[in-house]
Amino acid sequence: MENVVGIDLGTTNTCVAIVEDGVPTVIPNKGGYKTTPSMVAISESSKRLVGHIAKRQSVTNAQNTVYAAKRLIGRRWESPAARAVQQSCPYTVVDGPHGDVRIKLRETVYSIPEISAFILQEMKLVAEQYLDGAIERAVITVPAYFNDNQRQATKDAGRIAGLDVIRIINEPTAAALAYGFGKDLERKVAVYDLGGGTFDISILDIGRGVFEVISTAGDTFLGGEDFDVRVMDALIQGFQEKTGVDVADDRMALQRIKDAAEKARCELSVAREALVDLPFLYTTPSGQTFHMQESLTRETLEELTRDLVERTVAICDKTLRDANIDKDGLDDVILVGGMTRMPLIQQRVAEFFGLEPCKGVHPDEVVALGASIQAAALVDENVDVLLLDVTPHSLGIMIVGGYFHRLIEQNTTVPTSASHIFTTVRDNQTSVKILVLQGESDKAADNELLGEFILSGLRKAPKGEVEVEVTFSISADGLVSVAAKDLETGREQSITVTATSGLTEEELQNLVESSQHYMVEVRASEEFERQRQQAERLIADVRELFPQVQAVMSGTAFGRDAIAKAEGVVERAEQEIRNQDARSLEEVVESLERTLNMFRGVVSKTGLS
Amino acid sequence: MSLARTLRLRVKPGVRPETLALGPQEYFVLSRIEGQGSVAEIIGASGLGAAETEQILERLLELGALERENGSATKPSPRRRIQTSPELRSQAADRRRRLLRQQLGAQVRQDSGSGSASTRPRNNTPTAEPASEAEPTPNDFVPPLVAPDDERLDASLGLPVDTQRHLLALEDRRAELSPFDILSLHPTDDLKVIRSAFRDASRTFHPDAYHGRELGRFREVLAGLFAAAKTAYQDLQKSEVRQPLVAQVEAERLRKKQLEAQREAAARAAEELRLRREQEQRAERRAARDARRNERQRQRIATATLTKVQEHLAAATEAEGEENYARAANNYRLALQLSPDDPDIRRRWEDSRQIARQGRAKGAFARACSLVEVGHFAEALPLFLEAADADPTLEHLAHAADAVREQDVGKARDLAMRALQLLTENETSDAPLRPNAVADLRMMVARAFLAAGQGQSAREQALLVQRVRPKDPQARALLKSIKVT
Repeated sequence: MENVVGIDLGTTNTCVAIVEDGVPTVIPNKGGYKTTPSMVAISESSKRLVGHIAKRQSVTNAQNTVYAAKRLIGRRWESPAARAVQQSCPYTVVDGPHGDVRIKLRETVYSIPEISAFILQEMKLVAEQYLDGAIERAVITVPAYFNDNQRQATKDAGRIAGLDVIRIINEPTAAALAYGFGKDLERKVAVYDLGGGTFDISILDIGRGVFEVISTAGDTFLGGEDFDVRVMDALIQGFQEKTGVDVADDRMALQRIKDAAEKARCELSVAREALVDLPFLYTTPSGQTFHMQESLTRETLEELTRDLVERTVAICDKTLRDANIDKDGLDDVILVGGMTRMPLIQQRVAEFFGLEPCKGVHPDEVVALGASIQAAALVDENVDVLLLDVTPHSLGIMIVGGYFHRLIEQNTTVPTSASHIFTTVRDNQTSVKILVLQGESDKAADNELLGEFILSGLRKAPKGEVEVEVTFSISADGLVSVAAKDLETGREQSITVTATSGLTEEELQNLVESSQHYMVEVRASEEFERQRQQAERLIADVRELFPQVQAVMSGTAFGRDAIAKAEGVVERAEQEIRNQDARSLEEVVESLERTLNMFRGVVSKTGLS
Repeated sequence: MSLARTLRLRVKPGVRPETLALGPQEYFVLSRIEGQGSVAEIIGASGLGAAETEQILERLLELGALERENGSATKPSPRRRIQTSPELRSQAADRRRRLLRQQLGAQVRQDSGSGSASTRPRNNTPTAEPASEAEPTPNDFVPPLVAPDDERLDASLGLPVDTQRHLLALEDRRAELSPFDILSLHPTDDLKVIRSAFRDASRTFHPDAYHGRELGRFREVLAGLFAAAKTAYQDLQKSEVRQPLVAQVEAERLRKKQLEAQREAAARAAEELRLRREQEQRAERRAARDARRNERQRQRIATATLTKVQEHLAAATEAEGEENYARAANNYRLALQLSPDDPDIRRRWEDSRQIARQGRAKGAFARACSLVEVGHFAEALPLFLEAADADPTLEHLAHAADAVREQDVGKARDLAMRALQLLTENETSDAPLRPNAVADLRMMVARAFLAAGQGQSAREQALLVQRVRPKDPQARALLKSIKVT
């Protein structure tokens, strides 16, 4: 069976899992951690750093360390989300060539899918190492409330990373899959997913292995990061009040405060008080130093963030009402995402739903596990799970007056299709431009533009006479296709709407290639590294035996010759290590091994050892 | 007939159960057979009754779905079975899954609400399912299929051809299908059943249910049908959509039931009528038989009676010949009893009885007279009375009256009165008795009257006696005694 992994590409952490012998398992990374920070950095030596390494150096290299790239993926430069990130993060966000957002790190501009791809590539490597086999296909999760552009960008990221993303699924859905997999449940559950950057609420009906999403809603800009920002602001303000110093311009200080804020917030989930101790936080140009030493209580945190929690509850309430679901009809509430460890959230969720949240799932791993289950279900005949997902946003077209006409309502189970007949609005109109939009606003401009196409060759006629039938379909894997048909001539035109991730196909192609090169390099350097370590070990061993062998063998011409040869081999090895040539090194390693064996033989024969 | 429990059966290789005319139960039992198994094992696995399962197995044997397994009847080791026929087993498992899927896909799930685990049609566990849970509920919902040679079918796809046929049939008829039809469900108000049916439909229609197999053009067909199933499911949540359909079916069902009931009632009535007629006919036949028997009996009796009568008459004639009139009278009486309406017999009975009486009276009288002559009056009395009774002639009456006068005055007077009447008749008769004899008789009457206290009558008779015999001492004495009194 081909290995297909599930990846939870989170705002702060990423996790990869696979179904092994029918059991979904999280794959630990090289450091043994089950989750990897979703961080990418470019080091001073232009080396790409991903995960824990990137996180470790983030304080000293804040400007070139990207975190929470997920908040920007698939966003437009003008979007408020991009604005907000721009203001709050230490790395440089720049305007992309296609209205998208890009990040500038050490003079190189990266697209967001590229950044995400670096993380996915890392996860791919982790999985390949664990499974000792190539990974080519994956299911990646996104917040349920992601629009098509964001999903497409995520897919592109996978493609850049060398992964065929066979399906993008929603995080809360994945969590529900993990929750219900292998148990024979007949339940209606709510999944409350508050992650690092996004909030989602989904209601699912689970029964006999069929997971039917009834309704889903959320806020793609509400998550742990927002909580951290609140804490950060409070700390900065407190610092300013105490010392009169504003650190807002000091990126390194900001990064330190941010880390401390996150740490404190996490600590407050278990402790009632957390200490923020940042010595030498700020040094004035005149050389005066200031330290930050603050104590933060859980009550303070809750006060700072209560409105955020209430926002999530309000979304839950609205979702239930919109979907016409009675709270009493729910059997379980699943909490997903690291943020749900916060006692205030647990308490409010329990209060709101009138249910004690389900404790059986690991909030950091459950989404990846669910993704791996869906991955297995899509390729493995033995995995008996069927996911009926919904489209989270309404889909429609722009009609005259700049209004948005919905053809497929949000929360419609996919695959689905809908059609509508439109008429021309001008006399002698011969072509019609169809703008495909996604969103909930009645004004077309407020919704996301997914694509556009033109149906031409209409008969010249007074307005309102020519009819065009527009059919939307969304396939099970979320692809939107739109067909427009001139009902008079039967002329048909259709496109598969590829949401724009901010990258053109050409760019994407280039990125995929360069990523492949990078992978080859990574593999080669890994190989070299292995050889180098072995060679160095052998050199050390040979050197250790050198004096003894010399003592025994220097008496003969043959011995002297052998010793000289051995010295030559060691020298060559050292040379190849400096040259970083893996292949030559491999040959030298063989010679080294022979030399060492000979030395050992000599030493043991003479009985000196 | 029953099958030996140790008999081992196996699914005939290459048999396609879909092509056989099997009922749901037979399908079910067939699906329970893991390639092969003994009758006892199959009964155990089916969860049905032993007799029922045996019947079904017999039918399956008949249809050629199963065959008897040769040679291994003595070693029914399941271990060995696994080793020897993994291929067969996997074939059977495949077939079983396909069968169950087909069956359950088109099945009303009554039990869905209970959350039972193993009703899942694709459960891969081979034997662990408790049989009762997978037991098919009777359902006559027949999923539509297109012709097996439909050109749109494509055996190279990862979709079973039967499923393709079903899908195409649904696709072709989509416009006319009701929401319940799309879900392969009989109209019901049970939302749990509807939800369950939707889940089953999802497993058939959702493209993801085929684990990434090649679906070709069916991908679109599936997507369309899935959307239709989803719409149907949503519509059926609304009672205003559901109710009319259910009501319609309910009405149809009710109408059928009524019709059935009517038919049954009619059949019952006809049966009753038939029975009643039969009973009537039987009764008539019985009556006729009885009548005939009675007639024969009557005739027999009549014949016997006639014979008896003849016998009696013969006896009577014979007795008459012997002048034994008493016996003749008796025989005549017996004959008359048997033939009471025969006037001749009656007459002859009366005649002979008369003669017998007279004879008896004459005899009794004679004996009485002789007894009187020798002075035995007491012994003579009953004989006189008998003579008077048997033949009340003047002489007999007079003598009886005279004889009884001392014992029973009432009787004496009565007899005297009758004698007196005959005496009066005698005077006017054509052959009157001699005056002397009359005088004697009158004397007797007189004595009787006297004894009964009728002195005037006694005197009158005595005087009449004296007129014939003036010097009759008896009369004189009587008259004297009357005077005295």
